[in-house]
Amino acid sequence: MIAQQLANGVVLGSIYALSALGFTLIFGAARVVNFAYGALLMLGGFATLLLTQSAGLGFFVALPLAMLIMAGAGVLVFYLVVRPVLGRGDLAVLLVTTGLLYILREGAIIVFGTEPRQIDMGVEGIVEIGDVVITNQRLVVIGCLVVLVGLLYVVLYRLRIGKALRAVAQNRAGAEAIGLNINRVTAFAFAVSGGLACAAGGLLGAIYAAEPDMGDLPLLKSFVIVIFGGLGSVPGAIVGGLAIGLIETLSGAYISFAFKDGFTFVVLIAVLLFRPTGLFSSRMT
Amino acid sequence: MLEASGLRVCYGPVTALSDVAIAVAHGELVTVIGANGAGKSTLLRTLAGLVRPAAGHVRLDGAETTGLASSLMVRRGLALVPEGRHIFPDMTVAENLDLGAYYRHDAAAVRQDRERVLTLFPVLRERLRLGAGRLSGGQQQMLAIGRALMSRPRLLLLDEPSLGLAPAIVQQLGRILRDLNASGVTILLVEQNARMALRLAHRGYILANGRIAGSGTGYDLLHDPMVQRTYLGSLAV
Repeated sequence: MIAQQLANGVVLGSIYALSALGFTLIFGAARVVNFAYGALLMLGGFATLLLTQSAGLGFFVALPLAMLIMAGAGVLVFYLVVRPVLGRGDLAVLLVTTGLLYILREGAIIVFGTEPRQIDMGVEGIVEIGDVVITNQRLVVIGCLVVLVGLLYVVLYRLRIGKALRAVAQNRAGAEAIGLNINRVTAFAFAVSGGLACAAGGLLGAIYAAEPDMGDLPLLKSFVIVIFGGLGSVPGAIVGGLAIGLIETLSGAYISFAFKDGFTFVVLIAVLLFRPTGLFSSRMT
Repeated sequence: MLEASGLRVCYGPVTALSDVAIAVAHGELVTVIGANGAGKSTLLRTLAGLVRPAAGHVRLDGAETTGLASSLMVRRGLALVPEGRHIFPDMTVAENLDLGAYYRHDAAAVRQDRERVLTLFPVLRERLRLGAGRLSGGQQQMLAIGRALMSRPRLLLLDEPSLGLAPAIVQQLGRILRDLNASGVTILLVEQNARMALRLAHRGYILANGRIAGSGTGYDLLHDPMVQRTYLGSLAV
């Protein structure tokens, strides 16, 4: 029983980790909180849904394609919404991105309706390991986390622009001094972030369902995870995402299902009390 | 090589620089001295393209560069070593140096320059794989200079490189700057340590309250009674 719950927790945690990675990248690079992130995740879910359903593509073609589209959407969000108010205080960015979150969510309700729709992954069957039963669909989720984290590390540590992104995250003034184009680097962070949001949205839509408010809880959870793991920290987002997924699943199974989301926030309060900088350093290492 | 004229810079309602004119000729080592808050950093940041002036002109090699972004100035051969060093603490020394050559695509020449930097600063060679945040203050300053040199600048701007360093390290730094200049790099040095700066420099400017209050050769300024009283303490030189 406990092994089964652990497996479920890792699956949920994988989606949270993907979602939190995109969220933390933006904070690391631009020092802003992007509340429209929840809407990007939701749009990513619907983009994947449309590509599989209307365009008839397989899930494993549709998801990367949707990620590219949402990467572009991330860049648009930066240049059209965030950049114009940069330098006018944190509250300004918070307000415009929250506004965008509502516009996109209500827009999605008008266009897609409120009915939840599941994305067909085209993967069936289950695996049994001892007492643990896990669907192949859920294994795909864990696989996606592994692959995407691997890709992210290649981007951040091998690509020129990725190194520039880390430089901006670690020392903005230093990055400016050596002439890195901060706007372009930040736009790149928004692109990667949009792609990761889409991956989380596509997987959530396949495991549960795509619907206009599907991004709300992941947004809140990402916020918690990123504080839990350390603002701007990549390993912190991965470990934090898995931890929150496990905490939620286990507390839901053994303490109270109704309060499972509440436990996440109890953990958040504890972290803020005892380790306010998070479990990992706040710099992108 | 670098000429600025009529520079005015404002931060909101505060005027940081007014009507500043300064020139640096090819091969020179020029310094700007002045008290804390006189506008020295603002001047360097404006020349480097990090601050846009409200009025005035900056010309590099005769071409108008006023208001050009720092990414473009670096490509034109100007590099800034910022005050406070601002290295990338969670990257290795090697990665920090590589980022200095961000806009260069001549891999062979970059390797050559890296070798040159490591010869200039042997302490960095021994610590190439170490996280830059674990270097001492003096070593971090060497790294910041090395990182700037990796863009192969013809003009190097240094903002308070001696700040917070032990006297022996400051001396070493002075020698390095002199050698660099002798090897053909034009240098504009901003310093609170006026004695060290004027001893090194061919020429100097005095910046006070955002205006140029005087200029002359390093030697003349060093022996000027007003400069001695205001910027060098009352000690005889």
